[in-house]
Amino acid sequence: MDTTQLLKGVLDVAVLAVLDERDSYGYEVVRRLREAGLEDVGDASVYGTLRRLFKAGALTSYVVPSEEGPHRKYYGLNATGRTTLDGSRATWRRFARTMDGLLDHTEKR
Amino acid sequence: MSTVTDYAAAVRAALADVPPADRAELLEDLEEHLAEVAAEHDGPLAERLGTPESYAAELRAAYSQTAPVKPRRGLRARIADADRRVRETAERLVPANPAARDVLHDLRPVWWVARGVFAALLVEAFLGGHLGYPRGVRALFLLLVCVSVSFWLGRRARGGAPRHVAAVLGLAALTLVAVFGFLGLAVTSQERAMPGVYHVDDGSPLSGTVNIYPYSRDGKPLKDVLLYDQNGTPIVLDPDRVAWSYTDLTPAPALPNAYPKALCEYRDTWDLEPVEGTLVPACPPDAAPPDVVPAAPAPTDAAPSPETPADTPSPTSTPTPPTPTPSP
Repeated sequence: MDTTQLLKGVLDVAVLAVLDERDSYGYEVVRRLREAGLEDVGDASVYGTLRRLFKAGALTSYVVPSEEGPHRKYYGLNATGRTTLDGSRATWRRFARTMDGLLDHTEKR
Repeated sequence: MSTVTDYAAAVRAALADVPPADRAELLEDLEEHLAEVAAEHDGPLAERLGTPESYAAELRAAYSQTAPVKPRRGLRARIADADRRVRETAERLVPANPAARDVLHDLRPVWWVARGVFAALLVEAFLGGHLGYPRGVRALFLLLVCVSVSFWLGRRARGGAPRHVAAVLGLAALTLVAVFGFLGLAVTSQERAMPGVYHVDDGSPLSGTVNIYPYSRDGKPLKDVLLYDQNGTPIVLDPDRVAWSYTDLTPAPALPNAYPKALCEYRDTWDLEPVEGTLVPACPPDAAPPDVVPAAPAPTDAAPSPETPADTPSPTSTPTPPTPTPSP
């Protein structure tokens, strides 16, 4: 099964989860998602998602000047983001349970 | 670095049709991102990120996803959400057994009727009536309408008519009868309780009292005193408590608010045979005027009677409270 299709649906919650752990700049989010096992995640998808979440009011952002490289725009969760993450987490758990149940059920037969 | 510039330019070009505000936001740190990738990756950017066009398409798709975060959600969405959650919980609670499911399925009309009746009662209460037994043509009409609407809504929402129409209609009728019967019962018991009798079991100072011994000012125990409150309602002490712990030996016909009663203690709670002759002891009223102190009848003695007036005032005597013998 193509995981990029699955990723589309859960990228929001994945990004929120990563940022809940600690504030990060765009590329760091990409890197952390890949380190967490989402190797197929696309750079542009993550950036687009970050912008959308920010625009929707779920994220705060601040620029941190960097000495060698470019300035980095850090993102973090605000209260709305945290609420969204909690809601998404619950939704995901329910969904995963449902799918597990469905698959377990058919596997036994 | 020129590759970064070229790549960025191509991405910007591919997003030329995006509204300026969104475009600025989307491309805000594009160069920074490309620089990060370039610093980490030796080959051309496209090797790692795909073509600028696909990068732009991906960025756009992720940004304009149709299910954005909704910081403020509409009431409708909240209701739908809550409804879904309730249904999911119900699904989980409902037994998987198909027979049980069938029963629940067939029982839904009962809920529909009950809900309709409840709605009608609420509306009736709103319209200036009172929350209770509906009376009159309007109430009846309202009831019919509400139950019909509720039924219609229920059938529409769950889709499809229940299988056994006759059974369902029968159930619905039964529910109606049950609801009305219950309401009627509640009202009649209320009416029975309301006008005549004032029960003292509500936490008032008399709560827990099972008997009253009225005395005259000169210390004589009074017999057959009828007690009323300020509304002219007879004062009746908690009849349940009396019935549980004592036998009322007052000869019939006895008025419920005539005091003192001839109460007799049970031997114990489980043995319902009254102990003949052991009447609940009376205590001297503290309210008696200080100059005339009434007598306290001996605790285990006979009931206070007007024939035995007090001649030995003993205000300091500690009478035994009228308690039933504790059960084993």
